[in-house]
Amino acid sequence: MFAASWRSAMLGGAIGRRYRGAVSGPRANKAPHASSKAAVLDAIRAAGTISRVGLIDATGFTAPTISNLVRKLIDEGLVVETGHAESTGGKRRVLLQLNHAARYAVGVHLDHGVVTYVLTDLAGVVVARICRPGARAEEPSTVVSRIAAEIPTLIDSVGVDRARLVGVGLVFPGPLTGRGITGTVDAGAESESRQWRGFPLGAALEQTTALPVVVDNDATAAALGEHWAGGFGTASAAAALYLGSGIGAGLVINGITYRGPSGNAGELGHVCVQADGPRCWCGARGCVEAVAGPATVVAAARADPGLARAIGLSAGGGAAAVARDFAAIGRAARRGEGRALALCEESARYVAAAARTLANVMDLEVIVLTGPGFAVAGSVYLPVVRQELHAVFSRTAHPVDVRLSRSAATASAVGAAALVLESELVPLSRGLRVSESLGGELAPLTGSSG
Amino acid sequence: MSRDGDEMSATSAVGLVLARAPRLLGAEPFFMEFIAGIEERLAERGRSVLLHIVADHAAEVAAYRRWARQRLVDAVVLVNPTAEDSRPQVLHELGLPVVVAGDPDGDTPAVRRDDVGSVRAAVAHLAGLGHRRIARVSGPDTLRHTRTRTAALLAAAGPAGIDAVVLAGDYSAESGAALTARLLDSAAPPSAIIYDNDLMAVAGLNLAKELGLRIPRDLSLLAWDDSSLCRLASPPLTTMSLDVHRFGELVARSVLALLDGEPVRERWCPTETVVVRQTTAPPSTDLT
Ligand SMILES: [Zn+2]
Repeated sequence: MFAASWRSAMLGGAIGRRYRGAVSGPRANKAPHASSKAAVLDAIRAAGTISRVGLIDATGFTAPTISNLVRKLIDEGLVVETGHAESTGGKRRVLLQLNHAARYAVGVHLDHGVVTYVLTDLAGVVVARICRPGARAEEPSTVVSRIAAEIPTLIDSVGVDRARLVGVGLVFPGPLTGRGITGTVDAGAESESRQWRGFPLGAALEQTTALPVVVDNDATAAALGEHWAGGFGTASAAAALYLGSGIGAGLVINGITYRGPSGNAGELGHVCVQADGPRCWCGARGCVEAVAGPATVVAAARADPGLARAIGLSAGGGAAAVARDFAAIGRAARRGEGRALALCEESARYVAAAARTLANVMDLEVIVLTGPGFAVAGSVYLPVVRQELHAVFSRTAHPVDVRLSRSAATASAVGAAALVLESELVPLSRGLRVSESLGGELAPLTGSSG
Repeated sequence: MSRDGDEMSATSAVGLVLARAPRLLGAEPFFMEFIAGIEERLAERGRSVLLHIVADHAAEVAAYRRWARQRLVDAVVLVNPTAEDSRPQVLHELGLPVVVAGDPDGDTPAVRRDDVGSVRAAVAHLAGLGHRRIARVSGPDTLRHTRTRTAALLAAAGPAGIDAVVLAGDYSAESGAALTARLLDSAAPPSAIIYDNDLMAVAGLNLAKELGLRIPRDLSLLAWDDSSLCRLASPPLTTMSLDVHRFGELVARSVLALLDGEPVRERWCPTETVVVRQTTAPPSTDLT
């Protein structure tokens, strides 16, 4: 359904340069941050509140080192003391936490037909959000100007000093290639995409805003956002299944987002669920997105005039209309409208099959359903996915926990903000690849409640 | 109000401030669906919703003053109206048009929920199953709709020969569990409990199961605000279901009429209906 309109557009910006993986959990010593200060800050973030003694346990650093680094972080205003832990007989421990209002980040999700902006605080908690119409047929430079103009408005609306903004995370659907990004930012005609080919969106936005800009795909960002919010718990292998205009997935392995050598890991929408199935826009046959994605569900519902009338589907084309109609179908399914429910459950069976494949390949412990599609229809899909995974994994070493995200509706924009917070404040050491971190000692993350 | 076209297309937004404690994160699905409903109608006219989440009332009022000063929003949607709500007056003084989502203050334009009709439907469902001791774990008593529901519950209970008791919670899971424990520990525990939201109901359900109660045989539970949490609970919760998306759409219609300078008529959400799932049943004989 969606043309690969932005395919091979070079939207290069900070990938590889500024962008690296995420680290959470108190095992910060095992997670190779760029600096010991970054490791301590990330350990505080992941714990929520933690004492200096707790930081020694979490990072493996010595008491004098922790004392020094904590003093620096307090002097910089990033960390504050926040009362005492309950006394355990010895002396009472002072608790530390992030100073939420010390820094802010903007997350931008450039999706089909709509651009979502969020402003988050230092901990990645949403402070403000606004949606604007999507790129449509505009020139790339116009879109950059529009995004750049929106950012100060958003900051002013919450009364934050612009100097506290660390940067902008910018994410969109579609895979990365090399240093650029390809994909379907707007489901327009192929002709519309040509102007985007080779356009360095990240770099252009960085230049216009004079702020650090980090780019990534929206499903990976959603996974990082979920990780920051503690949604994966202590799992060492977790995935966010993303249902937006298409189907995607983001992987968090041992606390680090895994994107593969080219950023294409987790392209769940193009997992084959029907060898002889319909042709997908990617060129292959039987991809789960082609067989059971939102556009396919909407097309089936629109083909049923009675249903289309009953739940008020638009006849309009374009990605925004598809998103609106999928939401209407999801709401109708939740109300128990029989035909809408049947369409969603049919789709869910294929999504569940793809999820099972992913869980098998990656030995997943947790799958979180997220994105605007699951924000509406998640309670219809979740039991089906759960059942599929339970049936298969009940015999194996561990069950796969399937949950709904608490911030499914804005997951990618929230994750985009987390991307830039991570790269600016708690960066990993240069050149880190997940394979390297997996080479070390494997221990489950604990207490990741940040 | 009137602004030139360029300015309009760049910044035209309708503001919505959500004042809530960070731990009430579970409120997100309800509000995001409400906002999606508003956005769907506003988008047709090139307008957006600017959502701002703050910790308390003072920060909310500060946001309105800032928005008015910098002309960042054209109108405000006010949520969670309280008993002695100073916000409509503040917005009026700032010259910001406002639509209240809920019971209005005086003649402020509003989209109202039929809380009285909804409570009657809830009581009728439980009374029809034979319950005569009904408790309700409510939201904060400062909220107008909490008071409206409490009055409606007491008014409906008396004539039906029902003993009704109300304990005020704060919408959090913690208060849902704690107040459920207090109710079940009382000399004459209720045979059915109504909750004012989904988070408290799920917490109450979990606590009752931990205490070894068989739901719904030993205790009936009825949640408010149908959500994924209610549908996915084990067993799935019987709930009062508001069409939240439609609520948002109605609010948007009122906002657009207000901005067009048209008279804004009072709008009402459709009365909530009981969605019967697996947590309500006739009371077991040893409890009645
Ligand atoms: Zn494909």
